[in-house]
Amino acid sequence: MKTHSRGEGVHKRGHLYSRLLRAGLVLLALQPLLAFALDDAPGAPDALPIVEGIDCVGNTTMSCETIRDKLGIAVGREMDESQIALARLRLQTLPNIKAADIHLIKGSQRLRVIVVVAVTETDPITTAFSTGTLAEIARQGTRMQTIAGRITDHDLLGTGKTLDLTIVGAVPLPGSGSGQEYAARLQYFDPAVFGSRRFFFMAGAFYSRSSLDLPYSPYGAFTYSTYQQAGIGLDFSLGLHLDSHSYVTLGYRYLLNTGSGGSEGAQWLTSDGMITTLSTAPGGAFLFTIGRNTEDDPSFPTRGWLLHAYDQWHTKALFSVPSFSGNTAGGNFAGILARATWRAGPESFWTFQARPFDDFQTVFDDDLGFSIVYSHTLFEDGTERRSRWYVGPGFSNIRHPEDFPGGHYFEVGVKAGLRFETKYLGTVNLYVIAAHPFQRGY
Amino acid sequence: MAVRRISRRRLVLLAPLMAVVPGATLAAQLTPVLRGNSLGVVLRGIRMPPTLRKDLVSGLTNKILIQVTLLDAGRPGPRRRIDIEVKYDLWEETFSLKIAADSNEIAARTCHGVDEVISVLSNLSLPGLFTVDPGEATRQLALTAEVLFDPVEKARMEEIRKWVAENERPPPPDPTNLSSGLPATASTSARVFNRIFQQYAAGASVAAVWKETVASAAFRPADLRREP
Repeated sequence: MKTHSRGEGVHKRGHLYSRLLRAGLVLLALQPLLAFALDDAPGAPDALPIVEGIDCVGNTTMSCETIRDKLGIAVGREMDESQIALARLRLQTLPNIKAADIHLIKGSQRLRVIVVVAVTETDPITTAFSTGTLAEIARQGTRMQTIAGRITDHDLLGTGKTLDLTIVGAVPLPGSGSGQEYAARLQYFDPAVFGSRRFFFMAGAFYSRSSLDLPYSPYGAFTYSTYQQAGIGLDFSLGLHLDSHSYVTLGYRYLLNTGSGGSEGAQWLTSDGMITTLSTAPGGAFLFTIGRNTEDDPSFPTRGWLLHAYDQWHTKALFSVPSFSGNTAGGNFAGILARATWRAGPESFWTFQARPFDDFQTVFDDDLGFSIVYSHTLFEDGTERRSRWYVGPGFSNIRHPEDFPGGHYFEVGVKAGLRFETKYLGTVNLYVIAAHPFQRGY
Repeated sequence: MAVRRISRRRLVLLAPLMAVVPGATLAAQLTPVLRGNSLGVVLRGIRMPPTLRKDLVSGLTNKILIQVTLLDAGRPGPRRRIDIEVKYDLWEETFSLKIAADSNEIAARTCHGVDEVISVLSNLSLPGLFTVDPGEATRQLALTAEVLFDPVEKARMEEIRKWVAENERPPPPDPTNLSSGLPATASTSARVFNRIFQQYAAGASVAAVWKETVASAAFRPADLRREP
C-alpha cells in the first residue's frame, strides 16, 4: 500500500498551484483567440454576426454603390437588424425603387454574413390617360368630350432628368357646335441643376390649335365666335427650393401665334397644354411662380396641401399691373391654385380645391373653380394598384374682361369620376362634369 | 366559442376552392380559453403575408406583433402585447421561435422547417393574458387581436420621414398637372412607405404593411369550458 507523507502532500499541492498558475497565464495569453472561438461557438446566444459584404441583386440602372450609400450599413461591423429594417424602408422611398428586400447569406465562416439587397426597379417610363365629358346642363351647345394622354421618362438616358410629352384634345359632342381644340407640350425637367438639389430647371415647347364654332357661352362670347388659331411657344424656368416643400421659379416664355383675323400684337387665348392664358403674340412674357406643396402624392393624395401662385408679365407691358381678371392690363395676369386633402376615414378623403381667378377656364380642366370632393378607395388592398372614385359639388366665377364679350357668370355643378392605375395605360382618370351657368352680366 | 365559426357542410363546400386557390385560408378564429381565473386566447388560421416563407429563411429576425384587447360590454379594456420572433440560423438551418407577453418570454422552441413554423403560427395558444375575477364571470366580454407582421414603430417611422425630408426634395407641382384631368405620371415607388405612413396618419402607434384584426364573439366567462 502506497502512502504519502505530509511533506510530500505539501510539495504536490505546491506543484498543482504552479501548474494552475501556468495554465492561467497560457489562457490569459490565448484570451483573444479563445474569445473569438467562443463567440463562434454554436449556441452563443447574444453573438451578433459581422457584415462581411453587401451584394445587390435586381439593380439595372442604380449602381450597387448607390444602394450601399442609402443603406447605412457598414462592412466589417456587427450587423444591426434594426438598421437593416430602416434601410429597407429607406430604399423603398427612393423614386426608382418599387420594392426592396434584404436577406442574409452565409459568409466565409460562422457569424460572418453577407447582406443581399434585392431590388425591383420601377419602369422609368410611365403613362397616364384621361377622358372626360363636360356638360353644361342649360346650354347643350357646350357639351365637350376631352381626351388626353401623356408619356414620361423619369430617367432620361439614365441621367435622372425627366422628359414628358402631353397631348390633349377636345371635341364638341354631337349637336354641340363644331370644331376641335388640341394642345401638346414637351417638357424637360432637371431636378438638380449642376448637381445642386436646391435648384431645378424646366423647359417646355408647346403647340395649340383651336378651331371652334360654338355659339353658346362661354365660347360664343368670343369676339370671333367662329375662329381658328394656332400657337407655338417655348418656355423655360429656373427654380429654387426654399425648403423641403416651398419653391420659387422665374422663367420666360415666347409665343408665336397665327390665326384668322389676327394682327400684329393681337391677343389670343393660348393653351400650353393645361392652362389657357390670354397672350400677346408674337411676344415674350416673364413667368413667375411661388408655392408650397406638402401633398404626399400628386394623383392619389392622402394628406397635405398645395398653394401655387403664378404670374405672367408681358415684355411689352412690363409696367402694367397684372390683373386677376384677364387682359385689362395688356395681358399681364396672376392666378392662384389652392388645394388641401385630408382624411375622412380609413380609406376615404376630402379634397378642397380653389382656383378663383381662372377666367379662361380651359376645356381640359377637370375641376370647377371651387370644389369640395369626396373620394374613396375602390379596392382596399393597398399593395395592389391604387384606385378611387370621387364625387363633389363646385362652382366657378368666370369674369371675362370688358373687351372680351361673355360677361360675368357663375357655374354651379358637380363632378364625379374614377381614377385608377392600370397595367398598360398607367394612371387613368375618367370623369364627368355637369354644370349650370347663371349669367350675371356686368 | 369562436368567431366566424364555419359549419362542416360549408367547410366541405370550401375545400375544393382552397385546393385551387394557392394561399387561400379560411377566416381566422379567435377563441377565448379559461384556465382557473386566467383568460387566454387561441388564434387559428391567421392570414399570413405571401412572402412569409421567403422572409422566414432570410436570416433576419421575423417579428410578429399581436395586440390582444379585452372588451367589456363593448368598451376596450386591458390590452396585452404579444411579440413573436422567428429567427433562422443559416448554419444550423433551424428556426428559433420565441413568444413574449408584455416583454416576458412565455414560450420558446426550435423548429426544423418552415412548415413547422407556419403550423405553430397558424395555431397559436396564448394562455393567461387576463385575470377574470370570479365576480365578473357573468359579464359580457369579447376579445380582439390585431396581428401585425413586420411591425414598424412610430419612432422608427419618424426617423425615416426625417431622412426622406433631408435627402429627397419633392419636385414642385408640374404646371401641366395643376387642376387638369390628366393625372401625374408619378413613379410607383414608396407605396410600402406610404401605406405604413397612412396607418400612422389614421392614429396607429405601430403599423405594418400586412395586418389583420380578428374578433371573438361576445362571451361570458361563466359559459366557457374551464381547461385544466
